[in-house]
Amino acid sequence: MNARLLWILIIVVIVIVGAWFAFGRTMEPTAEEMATTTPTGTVEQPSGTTLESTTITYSDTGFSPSSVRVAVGDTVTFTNTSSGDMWVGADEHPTHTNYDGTSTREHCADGTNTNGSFDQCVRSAPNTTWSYTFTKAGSFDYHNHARAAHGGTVVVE
Amino acid sequence: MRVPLAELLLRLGVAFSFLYPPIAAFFDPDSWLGYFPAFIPASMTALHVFGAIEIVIALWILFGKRIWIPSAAAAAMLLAIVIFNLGQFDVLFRDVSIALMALALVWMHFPRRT
Repeated sequence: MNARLLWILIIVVIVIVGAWFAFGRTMEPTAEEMATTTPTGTVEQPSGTTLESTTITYSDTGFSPSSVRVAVGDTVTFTNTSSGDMWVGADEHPTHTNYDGTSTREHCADGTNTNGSFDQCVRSAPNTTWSYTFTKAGSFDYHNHARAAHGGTVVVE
Repeated sequence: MRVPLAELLLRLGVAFSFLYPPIAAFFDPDSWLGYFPAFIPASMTALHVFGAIEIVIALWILFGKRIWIPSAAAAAMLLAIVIFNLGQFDVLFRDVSIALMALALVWMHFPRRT
């Protein structure tokens, strides 16, 4: 075996894994990123409690802000300002199992979410929105099912 | 020509990973369209053209001659998919392994001066 070739292959693998850690992986939001995340509205509940509403914009370059921190019960609205379709779903692509263990085939039936999983379950055209209310705490990575390279994180506390 | 078992397994492994996606794409196209990079319009036509290319590569690796050519193409395609979808590396890390299998076939079949 050519030792030089082996080293080249090892370096290629290290570069790819390194690039993933550096650019591809969705990290916990930094304090600076959190500062840019501001609630965009409130939702009045029947009981009188007020829940926050946060907007994430999806463009041709991805989701912005890429990380948001919200409270349990808050609603996050994803606005598609891109030139393509948007289908927000929990990681991993394409099964979307990371939110509650159920896959798209289980919780999406004919484009309708059947069990409240974090999954839009259908493509939405440009200039449309999709809202989701988080009912449990956790850090949830998500992506655009129609463009899996674009993703973000919602931290629910 | 009798193919050594190790090479046959390499060919089968790489070819299978190129035969499954175009078949699965017929039943669940959205899951595969999502891997297209931004500069390629993600249409059904593009998906199935890409699928046809994958089938050609797989059959060439299985039955063809000069298989270093489709093997090199396979490795390049797999690494490109990984690079353009780094956010999904938790799933696509397997493509790196398959690409290295394809590169092994390139190494075994690349014409050398004697």
